[in-house]
Amino acid sequence: MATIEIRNLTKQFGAVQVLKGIDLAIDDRDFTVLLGPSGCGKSTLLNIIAGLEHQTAGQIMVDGTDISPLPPDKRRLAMVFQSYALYPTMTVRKNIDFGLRVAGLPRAEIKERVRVTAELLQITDLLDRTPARLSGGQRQRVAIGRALARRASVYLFDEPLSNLDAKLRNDMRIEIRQLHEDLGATAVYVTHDQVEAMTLATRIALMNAGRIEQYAEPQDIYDRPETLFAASFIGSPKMNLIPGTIRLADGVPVFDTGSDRISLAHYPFRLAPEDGMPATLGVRPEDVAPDAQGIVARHRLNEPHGADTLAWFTYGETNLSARLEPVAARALGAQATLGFNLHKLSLFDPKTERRL
Amino acid sequence: MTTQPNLAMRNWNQRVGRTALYLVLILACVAYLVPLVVMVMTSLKTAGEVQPGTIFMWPENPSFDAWIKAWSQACIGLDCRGIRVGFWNSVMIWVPSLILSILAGAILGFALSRWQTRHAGLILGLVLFGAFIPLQVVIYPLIKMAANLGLYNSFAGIVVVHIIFGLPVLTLIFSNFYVGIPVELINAARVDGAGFFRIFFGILLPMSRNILIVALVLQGTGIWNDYIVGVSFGTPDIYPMTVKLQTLVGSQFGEKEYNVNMAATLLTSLPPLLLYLVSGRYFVRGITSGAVKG
Repeated sequence: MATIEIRNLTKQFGAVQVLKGIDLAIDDRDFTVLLGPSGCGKSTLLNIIAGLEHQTAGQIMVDGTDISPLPPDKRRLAMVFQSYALYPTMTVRKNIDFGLRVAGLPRAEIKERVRVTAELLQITDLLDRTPARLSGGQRQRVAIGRALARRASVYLFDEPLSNLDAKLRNDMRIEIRQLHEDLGATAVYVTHDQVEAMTLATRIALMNAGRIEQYAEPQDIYDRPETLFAASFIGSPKMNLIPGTIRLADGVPVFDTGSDRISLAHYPFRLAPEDGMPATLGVRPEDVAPDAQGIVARHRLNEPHGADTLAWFTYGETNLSARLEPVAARALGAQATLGFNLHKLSLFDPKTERRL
Repeated sequence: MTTQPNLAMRNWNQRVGRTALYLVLILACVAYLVPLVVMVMTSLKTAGEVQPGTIFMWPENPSFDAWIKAWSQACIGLDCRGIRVGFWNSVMIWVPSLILSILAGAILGFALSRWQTRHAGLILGLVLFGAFIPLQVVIYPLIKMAANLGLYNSFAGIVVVHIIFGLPVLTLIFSNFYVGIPVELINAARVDGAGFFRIFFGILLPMSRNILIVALVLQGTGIWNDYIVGVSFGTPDIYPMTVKLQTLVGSQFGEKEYNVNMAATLLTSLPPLLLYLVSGRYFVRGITSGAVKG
């Protein structure tokens, strides 16, 4: 049971401002993923929550109390590190119970917790080995076990899967998800891998250049990106972005690309659109398909992925991608007429880069 | 075509190079070993045999009489209990100095390299500055201070001086070693609830075996071979073995018992020698690991 509330948090390294006023309210039992490109400040934010670094200003409230003045050993959090950070001279058992011994728990309790944790992570037969004699995946399990045994109310993960190979990463992802659901603790997880973020998070805090661009459920961010950055960072390949102008034809808004017009009749504008307003239209590759009516684009190449094929087009100066059935993609000629799913468009103001 | 003669030429050159190399090595060995061999031979001779001055002659009846005399009967000043008095004094100085100075250096090294200590760089710089101050320069004020603190002419006083003068180099060695340890390891322990000393004793110290042995050998030989601290801060009652040896060997009275002197000298140099033999392998490993990581 824990809520985390971060208030106007800033961090300055000399002249460089790494965090520029972070506000974030994480609910109890939330699995929040801090996602962003390297250098966006996500690891710094996690380290500040853990107490391993100090903020320049701002507060971190856990269950309503400010933990900022506390050193890391008094914060009662658990953390999993990218490099696993297992104590090399200790056996797996000692690694797991180190924190419990430090906390001075009774011996029987420690034994029981180690047993339960080891069973949960299926590392019981590794308990008497040292970290040097474990594989990467086993080390990661032990690192997670060490955090779990603490039974903390807040778990912090610093890119815990990035040193594993692809297959193992997928397995561990599912396992972490399952563990979180079973334990019902609050988790903050840092990654630069959007697939990891989409699959693990109950909510994603998308970060860029020391700010939070959007904090929402994964599907929300995917469907309704709040900023141009969110639109291009989430999704692989990124959302198609087409520059143009908004026109009002008899009061009905349309998007004018210069050569074509796309109806915006279904777009939920936040403020009434004005005629002649510059805008950027965003559409996901899976919402683009060959259609009898639509824009005419030059087909460049197909990129087969097995389940579907990405078809790449050039439209004016912009590149467009469409996620198509393999059969449909093979049938494409040099020119194609493409239609968009008009219910799933995004519109951005190119100046403020925010959603319209 | 021309490859064959070239190859033969290279082989020939290589052989000449090798021979020259071994020649130099053998000469170096001889230069170091001959005095030692002479010492051992002399110490095994009887007093009568020593007199003619034929130092390269093999002892006729090798015996350990001189060793026994040096250890337990030789007169140093008016004290005729042999060099063993000095040996035990040295042990009394050696053991606490070694343990405490290495521990202090390791803790300071950790605090200055892997802990968020304010002005760590400045402090390290100041500590290292100490490495460039010769003991002789500050010995007079140090003796005055020791006397004022009641530490003059006590084992504790000598130990404290050894700790202080070991600190610069030891701090450097340990902070260099600990810089090579990932910060995440320390961070993991901090999140696990451990404080400074818990992390130091529970996690870092067990990882420091190689560097501890380097420190042990450096400090072990340094402190055992010390002369100036022992002679300046003590009186004959607590003089370490080196001072006793100097008194014995340098005595101007009576017949010079070279065999006893040699035996006493060998006895005095034995502990550091044993230290090297026991830990040599780890010593080299520790030095290289420090060099690569530091």
